Amino acid sequence: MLRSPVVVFAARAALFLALQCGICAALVPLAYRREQRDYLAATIDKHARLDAQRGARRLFIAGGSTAAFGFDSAAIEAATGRAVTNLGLHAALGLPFILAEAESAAGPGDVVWLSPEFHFYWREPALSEEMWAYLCARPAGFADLRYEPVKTLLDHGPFQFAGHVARAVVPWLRFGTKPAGKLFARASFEEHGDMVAHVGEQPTRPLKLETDVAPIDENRLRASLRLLTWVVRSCEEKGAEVRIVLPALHEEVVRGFGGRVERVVAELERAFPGQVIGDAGSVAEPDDHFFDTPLHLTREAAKARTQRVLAAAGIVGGEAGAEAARSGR
Amino acid sequence: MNFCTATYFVFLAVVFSAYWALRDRRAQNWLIVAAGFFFYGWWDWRFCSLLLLSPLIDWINGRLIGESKSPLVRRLALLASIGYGIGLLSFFKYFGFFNQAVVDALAAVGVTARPIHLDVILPLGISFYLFQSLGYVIDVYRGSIPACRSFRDYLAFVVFFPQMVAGPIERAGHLLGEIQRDRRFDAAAAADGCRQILWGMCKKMVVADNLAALVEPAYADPAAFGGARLALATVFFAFQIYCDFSGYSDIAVGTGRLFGIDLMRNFNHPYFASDPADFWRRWHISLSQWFRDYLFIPLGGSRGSRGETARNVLVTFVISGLWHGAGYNYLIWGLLNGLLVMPFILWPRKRSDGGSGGQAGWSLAVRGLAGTAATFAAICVTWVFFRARTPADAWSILTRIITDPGLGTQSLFTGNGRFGETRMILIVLALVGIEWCTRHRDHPLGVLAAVPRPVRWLVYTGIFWAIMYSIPSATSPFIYFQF
Repeated sequence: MLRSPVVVFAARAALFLALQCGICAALVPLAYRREQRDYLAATIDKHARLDAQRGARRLFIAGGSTAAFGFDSAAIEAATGRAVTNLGLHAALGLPFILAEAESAAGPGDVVWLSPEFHFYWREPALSEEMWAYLCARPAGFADLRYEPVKTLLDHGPFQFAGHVARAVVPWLRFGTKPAGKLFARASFEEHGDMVAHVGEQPTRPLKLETDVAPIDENRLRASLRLLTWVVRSCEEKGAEVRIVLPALHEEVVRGFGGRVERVVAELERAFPGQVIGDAGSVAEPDDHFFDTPLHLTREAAKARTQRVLAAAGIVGGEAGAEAARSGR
Repeated sequence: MNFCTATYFVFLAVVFSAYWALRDRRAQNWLIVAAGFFFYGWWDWRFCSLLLLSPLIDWINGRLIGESKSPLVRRLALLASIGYGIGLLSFFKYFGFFNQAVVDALAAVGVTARPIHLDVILPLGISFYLFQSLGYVIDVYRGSIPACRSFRDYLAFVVFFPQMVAGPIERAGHLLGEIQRDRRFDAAAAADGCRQILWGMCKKMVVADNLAALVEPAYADPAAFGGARLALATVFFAFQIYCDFSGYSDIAVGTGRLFGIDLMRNFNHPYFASDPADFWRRWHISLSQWFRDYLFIPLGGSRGSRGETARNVLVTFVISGLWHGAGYNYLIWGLLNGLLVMPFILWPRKRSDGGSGGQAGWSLAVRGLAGTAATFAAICVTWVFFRARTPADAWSILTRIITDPGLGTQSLFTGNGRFGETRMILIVLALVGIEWCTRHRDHPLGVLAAVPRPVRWLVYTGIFWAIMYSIPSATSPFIYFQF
């Protein structure tokens, strides 16, 4: 039976597939080495900082690049008396991954500021190139895939991962793709995890402004809110305090979305009463506050916005301010 | 379940192993049924009941037709199947279109009506498996094949997973025969089937998916691009839809061979066609033949006067256009193809040897090349209507191609695909070259059968990693899944 044609054929096919898996496994360390210098590898430093502060009074921020560009963590640290880490990195990682990362990191006594980009609430999550780059740089992140749609992960995950490894190892074949540029590298962040490489650089103009006036996908909105609720409750069960911080968005884009932002804010306020920092009116920022996209604030604008966020959160300064804020809720 | 996913290959490995572990053809057919429902249910389990009901109705009607001596009963059974199939398609596929068409027609005469709003999900592959099942009933009625007594075998014929959702639309006389005979494992055929699957994946994931990323921006916002770029996007779309659909068919046929079942060839290098009629003998062959045998010929075919033949050609192509989608642009696409094909049916010409690969003089070769180029250009014009969102968009694209021949400043490449315009042009040219050189084979990778195994595996590995490397960040579903 072992010599039957079917068994021989199946054995050869299995051997071929095993060979490809072996090639992939052999390439992964090379891909890992190559990814260490890239922008997404900054997650290693951010998590190292967070882990080093375990046991201390921590506050960390989760979100995409809007969060990376959008906060002055040093000011938050001074106002709250907590060790602050900005985990914000790239929206392409997707809402499920970013929330899972926050949930994994949260511990007793932590304050968690979730600041996901608005489009997460109406766009279908998808596995992205950036996610695989992140996972190549920080393999521990594989555990944070737990909220990805299982079918999507099973269907596309293996091939996309293999593809990313191939492209990471042979970057000189990456023709046709735009290079990230020197601004987006692992060293682009300051010690708290805030993006600072753009300080002193010429802002990009004109900005590419998006509009979308189609009715919001209710199923997607509900699914996103369900996931957010789940993660918030999970963090709270672990003893963390969670706040939803509304991210900044270009005023033209807010208008161009035709009420979507207002709708999302209203739903967040309904789902998380007293936990949302900011309101629909505080989201929009003028054009000159943005650097290269309608999501990325300049450093000066981020500092100013942080002060407004602290005031909205009732954190007027130091521990006394934080205590006053909590008792006033 | 999508063919180009890891899940599919795990599924395929499990089904393949179980299939050949079973010695009995009946057990194998039950496995084919179970695998078909699992495959379909992976997309949406709610429509599995429809997948069971539709073949059941046609099988019962087939038995009635085959076993009844009453012409009235036989005719009623046939009409019941046709009515059920067309009715189901009309509801799921055309409700919105006809609903809006009625509202528009009433508005044209000054009557205001509100369209009935129904959120209808189009079941995956409904156009394919309904046509396949309907073809069986018609063939039984005509006496071409006997009625199938086993519902298990009939169900396996309809839900055989490689071809269930996007063809080839098999004839019962062929596929049911394959289902009903004992199968023996043929290692050489299975190996070639795997090569064909690899080639299909290459066409889909390297070529079609990356072309899709270049075509989408142009057709989403044509005004932003120069006419030459819109023309390039249209040519890209011609190869996108070819590689997408023929790639799917290659994977389907290759998969069938793993199970000892031969599926029909669905594409025969359509862009090498010498004229539009030849194109439609090479493109989506199973659908063309279905419409020829079950619509064109019953209407009278080309047996009547030239006027009747012209009418039959146009009706067939318009309905074929609507089969592809419920929209005026598909209707126009079908009509245009009918008009292109009509002269070659009304005044058939002898096919030149240059078109079939025999000895040809230079003038024949040049005429053949000119005919091929002209046919390709004409088909590309029709593709504009197929791809554009509306007929108005299609018209504006065509006029822009003629009136604004410049490239414009905006590139088709937005970073969504892996390769830019120039690289994709080179890849498409390489594809055309490979297909031309191997045009007498079922698929180009068939040449590897004669090569020593280490070299074969090296080539397979290279192709596999080229596919992995080329996967765009956003993969697109097979185009014909939406039909």
